[in-house]
Amino acid sequence: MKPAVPMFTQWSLVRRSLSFFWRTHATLALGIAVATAVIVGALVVGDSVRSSLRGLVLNRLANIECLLQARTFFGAQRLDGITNGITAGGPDDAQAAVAPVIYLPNSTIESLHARKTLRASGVQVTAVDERFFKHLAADAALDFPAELLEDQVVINAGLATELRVTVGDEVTLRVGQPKGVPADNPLGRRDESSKSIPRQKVVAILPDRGIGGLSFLSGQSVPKNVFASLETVQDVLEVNAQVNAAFVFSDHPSQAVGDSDASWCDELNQQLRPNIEDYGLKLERHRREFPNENETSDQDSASNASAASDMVYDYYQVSSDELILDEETSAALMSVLQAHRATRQITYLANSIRKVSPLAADVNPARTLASIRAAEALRRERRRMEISVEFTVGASLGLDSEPETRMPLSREVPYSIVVGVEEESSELGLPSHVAISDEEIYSPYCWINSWLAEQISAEPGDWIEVKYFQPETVDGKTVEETVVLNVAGIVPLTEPARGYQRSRPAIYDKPPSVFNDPNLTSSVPGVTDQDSISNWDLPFELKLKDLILPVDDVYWNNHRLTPKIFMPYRTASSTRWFGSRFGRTTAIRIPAASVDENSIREEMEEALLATRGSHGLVFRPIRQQQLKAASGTTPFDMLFLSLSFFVIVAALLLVVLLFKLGIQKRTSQLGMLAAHGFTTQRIRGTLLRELALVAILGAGLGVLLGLGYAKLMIVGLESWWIGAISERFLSFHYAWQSLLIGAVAGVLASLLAITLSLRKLSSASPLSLLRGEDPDAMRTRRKRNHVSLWLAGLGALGAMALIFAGLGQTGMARAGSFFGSGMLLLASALIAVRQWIEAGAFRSNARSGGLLALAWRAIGRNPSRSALSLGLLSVASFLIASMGVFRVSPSASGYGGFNLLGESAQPIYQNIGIASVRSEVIGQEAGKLAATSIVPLRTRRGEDASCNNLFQVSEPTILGIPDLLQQVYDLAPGTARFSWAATENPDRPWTSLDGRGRGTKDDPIPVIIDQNTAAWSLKQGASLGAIVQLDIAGQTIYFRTVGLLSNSVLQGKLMISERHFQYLFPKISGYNTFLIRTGQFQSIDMVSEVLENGWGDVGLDVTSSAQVLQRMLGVQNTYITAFQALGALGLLLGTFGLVAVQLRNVVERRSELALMQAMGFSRDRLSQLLTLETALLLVGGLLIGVLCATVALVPYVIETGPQLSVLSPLAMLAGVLVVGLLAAAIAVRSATRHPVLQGLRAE
Amino acid sequence: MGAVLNNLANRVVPVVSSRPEFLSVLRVPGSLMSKLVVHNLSKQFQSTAETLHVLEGVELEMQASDNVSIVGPSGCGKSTLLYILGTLDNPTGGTVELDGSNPFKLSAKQLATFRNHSIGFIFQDHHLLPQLSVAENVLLPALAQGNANDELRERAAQLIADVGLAERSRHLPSELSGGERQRVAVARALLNRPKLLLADEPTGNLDADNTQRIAELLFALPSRDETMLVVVTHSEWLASQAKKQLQLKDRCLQPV
Repeated sequence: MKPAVPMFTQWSLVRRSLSFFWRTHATLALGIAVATAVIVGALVVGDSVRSSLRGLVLNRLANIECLLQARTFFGAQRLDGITNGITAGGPDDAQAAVAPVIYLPNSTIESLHARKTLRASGVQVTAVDERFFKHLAADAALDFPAELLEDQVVINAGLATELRVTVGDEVTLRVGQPKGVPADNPLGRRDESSKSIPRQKVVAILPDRGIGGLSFLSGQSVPKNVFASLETVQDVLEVNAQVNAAFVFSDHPSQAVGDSDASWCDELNQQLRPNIEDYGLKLERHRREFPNENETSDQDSASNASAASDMVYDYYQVSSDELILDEETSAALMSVLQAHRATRQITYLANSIRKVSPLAADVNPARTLASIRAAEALRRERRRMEISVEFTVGASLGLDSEPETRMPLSREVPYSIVVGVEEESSELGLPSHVAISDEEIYSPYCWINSWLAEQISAEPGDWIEVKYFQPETVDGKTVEETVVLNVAGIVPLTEPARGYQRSRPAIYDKPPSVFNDPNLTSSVPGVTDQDSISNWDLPFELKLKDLILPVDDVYWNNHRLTPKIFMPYRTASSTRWFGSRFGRTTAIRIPAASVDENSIREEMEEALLATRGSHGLVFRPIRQQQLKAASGTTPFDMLFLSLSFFVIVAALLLVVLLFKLGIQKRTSQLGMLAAHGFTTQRIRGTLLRELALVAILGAGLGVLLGLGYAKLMIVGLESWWIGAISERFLSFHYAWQSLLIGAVAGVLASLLAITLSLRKLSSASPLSLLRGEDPDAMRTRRKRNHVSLWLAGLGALGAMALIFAGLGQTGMARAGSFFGSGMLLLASALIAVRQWIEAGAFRSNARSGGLLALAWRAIGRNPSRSALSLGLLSVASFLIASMGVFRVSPSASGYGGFNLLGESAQPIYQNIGIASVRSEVIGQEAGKLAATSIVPLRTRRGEDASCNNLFQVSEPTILGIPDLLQQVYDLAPGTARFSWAATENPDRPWTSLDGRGRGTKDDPIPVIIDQNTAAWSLKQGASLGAIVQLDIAGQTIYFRTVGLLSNSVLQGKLMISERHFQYLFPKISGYNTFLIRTGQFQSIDMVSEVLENGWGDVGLDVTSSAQVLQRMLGVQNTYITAFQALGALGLLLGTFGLVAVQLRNVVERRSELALMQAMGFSRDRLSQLLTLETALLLVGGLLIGVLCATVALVPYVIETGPQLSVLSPLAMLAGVLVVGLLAAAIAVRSATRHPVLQGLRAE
Repeated sequence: MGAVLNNLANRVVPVVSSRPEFLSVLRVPGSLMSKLVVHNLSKQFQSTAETLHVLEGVELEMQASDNVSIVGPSGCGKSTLLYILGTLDNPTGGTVELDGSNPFKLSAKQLATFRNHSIGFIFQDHHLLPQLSVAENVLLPALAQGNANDELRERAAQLIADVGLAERSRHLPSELSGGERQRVAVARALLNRPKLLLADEPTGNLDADNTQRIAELLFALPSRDETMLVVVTHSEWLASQAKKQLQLKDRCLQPV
């Protein structure tokens, strides 16, 4: 009878093997599961971080899609109807709605708690009205009260906690003043930079998540938010119905990058038509007729002009609320107004004027007007060159000082106006008032009015001396300059019949001249509205009050700010005179005869559109920008893959080890297959099919484990490793793609490892396989020995070379040297040890007898297994032992000896580094700061580019470094300095910033950055000479790295010279960042308290530099901790692998062990023997790793001294050793429980 | 009779080789013209200290259906000779020709095919795959070149029946006795109708009854397919069952 034989295929064989060897496969699958779990876990952590950041953005922006954040206040009515007809490009056809708001991001808030004032700075105040509530998504609006009445505020929970306030408490807000005359201009206000809004009642406290966390900066830190009544804030700031920001809401807000059509903002920007007032400009018409009309300044009265009158002057004038038109605005306006014969003028205040006798140098033939005109072309060229270097040498270049004094020939006329006008201005006709020849006129020259000529008895050809304040303050202080001018001519001034009164201009009975025009001077609050010069309210002291004579008051009464001196615009607007970084023009004058106001207004508004980006009068897709920043964050998946690298390697080594253990059991089977005609490929193919299925099963399990592993890591990041992410905001999230990628990667990595270890099997002969010989043991030893020993020797040599190369290196070069040399050493050591085992060193030791000798011999029994176990353990112990060295502690070199760091919400315009300035502001308290050094830094606030910020940063904070910083070090050579990773000038590193640069691609600005910021946040500029390209306020600026700080408190910021700072950001006045060094015996707390109390109104916040640095270094240290922890996990995995190997050994040697028992070995003694074998490998592996780490760390120890933190790694290694030994002992004990007879039967 | 069969084969083989489906019905045993010629075969092993000469000037010639037993003391090189004949090991000198061709000149892949088609092995340790049933173990050589087709399954069933294990075809090796396992190994070795069957101490682990049973199979089944048989054994009784008895002495084969 023949039996029925079922179908039998390759897959049948695979199936049978899978089920028969399920135990072996299960352990293998577990190893693969671990490798997969680690990969999946890392990817899921990346998913979670990205998703959480995205969630954070969506949450805190509620349904805000676009933002307009202007530099000046503008009419809210400009936004009326702007969103009509605009729908988003998405499928939902979302409807847009706009809410005008006042957004003041750098405010301060105070509360009174237990009779103590608690203050929080860096507060965002958003003043809103019913439009905000109407358009805010319903779910976000839930936390708000139904309406926000006058004197009511809503704050977020974080701020409430900091201020210790609850609902019903009152707080005081301090907000920045609307922009006016730049504070660094002598006429700018420096004494008051904030306004108080007292007694604001907290009516609700919002959670930090959601709209309570509203922030337009890319960063995960929780902002301090206050929502106030728009009307209240408008009243306090005296801006009427103006706002400085607008939120655009969408009823279907975008949820991901690309969801929203970018053209949405473009459409809004096309709809938005700012008028010239929105740019802080004003257009006025000035006309004077005689005899029938008075001077007028508005069109209504101008239209009533009588046809019979003679026109004295009639022109339009464009001027700025900030007194000076910036160059961009001036150029934009002139581009359209030049066609209407517009001319520029610059008006300035002279402190005093008097007639003097000239010096010989003044009367230089080369400086005559004739010579100048003859060389006009050349002069133009020189002027261009002058402008190009002005910004590199800076405004601090004063006029040539004159050591000799000129003899005064008249009284000093105080406080007069000098105006620079373009000579081509035909209306004034200055050239016609030249009374002497060109050969007699010396440059610089001027015209004076007849009143002044009379006062100082000056005639054409005479010399007058003019004293004025430099147009930019130095360290917040005015600096007086003295110049002489040659009088080229005298212009007529008519005295009025009746002078000015507060509400009425002067009245003339004789024809006034074009020079009877006080409008040539822009209005200055506190000056042009005063009755007497003595009443002028200026930001500086009127020291020359005593010089004011009744006749000067009469001039004021009759002519107000009518200029007494007229100069060529070209001279006056130069930065050597009255031009400055703020601009060179105070007004643009357009003859009214040939223009219509509406048409030039339209033309100007059209031209100004090109400048609205720098005024912030554009909508930007804030939601999309933030979503993009959230998605382009630190690649946490890659980071955790790197951190988990060793766990993956350990798991894969474990897979190889388990596979080898499994396959060794089946060697003779494979030999039998070969004997029956199976080709090597077919045998390998059959095995791989089988193992692929195991790998797929393992990977499937790994995906589940990976999800758990990711959850664990997220718990770690939210607790033990919070230093890496700064804030608790993470939530668990995974993408299917990550699971798939992780699973495929796990399968492929495992199969690759298995395939590589199968190579040896392929080269084995069928006969040796049949005999059950270990493929690893089959080799031509002599040949391999030579190659291996050569390799080990070369590796050791290479390691030594790298160690020497690492001496004196820093940063990445040192890390590269360390890891390179360490890994080479480790590889060499492992190759050498393997050769040692194979050469029989372990067998020869058996002669000495005893358990130890038997254990040695057992290790030599399977060199491949032993070497693999040693490798697994040594790599892990190397990493654990060495990583701790890279842990950084805050040191004085991290903050350059400045042990306090100050930041003010509003700029401080005075240089509080000067003791006298401190005394002026805070009086006697300043005495406590006598030994304190303060270096104030100009600051353009941007995003935090330190490692604490997980968002992709595009506009980091920029600091302007004054020369003072280097001088502080020059004066005290022994003090702690900043630690540099690289610098172009090791002796005086901060002077590297002084090189030229205009911020263009060809001429980048020198910059110093913290190395970590350059390498990780900006991902550019991490080496000397590297170019950093940033888009700042819509303009691309190029920087060149001239220095890299190492682990500094200035992390996250870009440092450029103060001069370049002023060139790049001319409108930023004052200082916001302060490096503070306390005196030797001064208490940090006392200094902080004095400073914070003294400048509390501007929200000065002083913190210990060590604390700030600790927080920043915490990121790096946390990663090291995580790396070590994961390394320890890998090591534990390796230890369990080792135990598995030993168990397998026990099984293989069961008969041998039974024989030993039969010979009288007790079970305990056998256990001791087997545990000793494990212990030898465990200790050997750990030792090899630790020794290699020690050698590789030599350069570090030589340079920094023996400050290694060895306790933590040693404790970790000891822990692993104990756990390993325990596991081995337990496993061995259970394995040796088999009865003796059973073991002998196995034989 | 041989000439007639040869004639028939010359006519039939070209036809069946173009129509594989006929093969199962008409296939003339592969050993129809089989001839094994071993000439001046030598084998040396190189150790660090000396050269060990195991075989020298071995001569052997066999025709289809021949069976030969080789005896000799342990370590004399019997198994080495067997493995060389089975192409599992290489000779140091001399030639081995099966049907006029030298298998040692084949590539690794061709050699595997050669072993699969022309050689059958029976080891002292049966080397059955513990995860496979009796039937699957017998069919295992079929997987070397693809999957087991109906003809081979039929032949496997026949062989299992021939070795007396029809009732146990679904059993795993662990459920069989030592003798039964060796019978499975015999059936497996004959699945592809090899020209040469090599048995290395096939009864080394068996008792007398099982030895006798295996001997019957060994000398009966191969001859049915005109397969040549070489048995290496310590068993004088088993050796005596062969048509030709040789001993390996002084590194070469000599008549007993």
